[in-house]
Amino acid sequence: MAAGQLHKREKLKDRLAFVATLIITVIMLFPILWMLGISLKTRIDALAMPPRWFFRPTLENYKLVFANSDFLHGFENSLIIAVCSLALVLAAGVPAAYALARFKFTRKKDIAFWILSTRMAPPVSVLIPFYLMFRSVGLTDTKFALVIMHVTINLALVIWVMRSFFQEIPRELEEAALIDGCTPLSAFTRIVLPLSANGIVATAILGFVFSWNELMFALVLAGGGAKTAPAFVCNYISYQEIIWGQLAASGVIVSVPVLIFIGMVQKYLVRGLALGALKQ
Amino acid sequence: MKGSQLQTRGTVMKPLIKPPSLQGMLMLPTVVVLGVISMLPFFYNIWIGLHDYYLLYPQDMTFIGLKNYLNIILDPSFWSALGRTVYFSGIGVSLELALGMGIALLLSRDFPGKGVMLTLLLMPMVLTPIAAAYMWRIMYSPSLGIINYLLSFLHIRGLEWTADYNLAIPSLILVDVWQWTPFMALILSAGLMSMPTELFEAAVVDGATSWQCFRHLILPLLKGQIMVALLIRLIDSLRTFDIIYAMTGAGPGHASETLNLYVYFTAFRDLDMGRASALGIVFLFIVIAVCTLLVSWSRIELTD
Repeated sequence: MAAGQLHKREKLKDRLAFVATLIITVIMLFPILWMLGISLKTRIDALAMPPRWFFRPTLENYKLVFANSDFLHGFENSLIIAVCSLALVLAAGVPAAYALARFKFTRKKDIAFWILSTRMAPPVSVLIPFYLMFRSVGLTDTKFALVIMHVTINLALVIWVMRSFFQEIPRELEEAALIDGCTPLSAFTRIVLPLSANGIVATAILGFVFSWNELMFALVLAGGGAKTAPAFVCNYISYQEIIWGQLAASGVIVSVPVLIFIGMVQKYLVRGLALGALKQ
Repeated sequence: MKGSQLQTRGTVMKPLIKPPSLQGMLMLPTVVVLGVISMLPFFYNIWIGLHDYYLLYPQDMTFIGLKNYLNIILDPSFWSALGRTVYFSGIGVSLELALGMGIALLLSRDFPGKGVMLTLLLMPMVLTPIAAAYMWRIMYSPSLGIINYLLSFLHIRGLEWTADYNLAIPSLILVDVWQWTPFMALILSAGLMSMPTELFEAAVVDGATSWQCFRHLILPLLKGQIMVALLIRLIDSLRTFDIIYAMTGAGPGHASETLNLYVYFTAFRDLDMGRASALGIVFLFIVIAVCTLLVSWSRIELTD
């Protein structure tokens, strides 16, 4: 009897939780849907007050944004910078992550903390000395400068997330490989690396997203030639007359790659944001 | 023959202690890259910070010792920027923690469509920040934005949001909360899910109220996750850039100029590199102090 009542009460609470979560989800998504809506509206519909909830969608804003060759150039720059910096970061970070996950060595804790501390440093205080150095050797407004800066964003991330992937691979696999005559290095390259391919892809995508979203470095280091997509989007804001439709459309376009990628590796997202500090 | 057998057995027994060079070899690229991208600029930063160095007159760079630091301490706009940072991050992160905890508790219940809702809840934090900033700018628009329109039903009229001196930071906090509450919710709900359910069942059967369960079971058991989430969020919140830059440009006046923006503008608008470098170092030590305090206070182990 009492247990039955308890059960009923729990069921009711479940239902209440469902309704509350649904409301919260709708509220959280509303701004994004609103932006999507504005991006599909004509100029008149976008500025209508009271707002038009129902309207005839048009792709005009998207056409105008894409017609801007600067925007496409920014897209291309973002892509190149993200891919190049990630290649560097993975090449350096993955082996280090493996070493941190598997081996004992002196000062390991200090090194691990040192790596983590690079994420704590405020980007602006990293940017100032780099800006001066790049400036003195004439590297500002080059993709190279931005690639270097994006390595600073992503190296700690890749090491910490990959470390937690490596820790999940059973140690026995390497031990078996060693018995079968592998060297420790070939056990890593032949056994562990292929097994962690998914983890590497997930980590690379997380790194890509952070690189893609980065704005401050791009604003300072990229004038015209190396301007990234977010920095280009930022241009719209300085115009006196705000063109809502194109603004919203460019926001949607810039976010699309990120949303697609994150959809693919969603379950690793928190691990990435928390730098692998948490096991999910 | 016998000797080589022994050696083989030795390798089998301690398979993960290798020729000492392997770990070093694996670490080397990272140590080199990190040395170049973190230590070199760090020391260069300290060096610049000891100089009077305007980018417009680079030839006039002069060594002035700790004078930049002294000027910073005596500068009221530094202190007000620090105050605004504490305001923005303190209120924002606290709200995110409280709301995130609420959502995590909701998600600990059992109902259909939970996975889908969780996925949708992730969207604010992955949206490109500059796009999020735009989106909110459109919605905050005083005369044509949806927010003032919705508020008009409550007979609240025409708030200026990001253009109002007193509302600028709260407006930014609202965006920050919108964007990062899901992060808190996710970390905390991962923590909740890993807790033993028997404990709660026993407590409920013993007649514990929901509040008692929360206060005496969930909070203590979740302390590690709470602290990690707080730490990560605080670090990121202190250096918030995109949203503030794109939504208020640190204005109106200096109303939303946090420390991060203050350093940024000192360097790249005022071109006062010596002072900006010193500010950067001060900023770095503030972040380190906050982290160290939180870590030692909560006794979490960050490096396993």
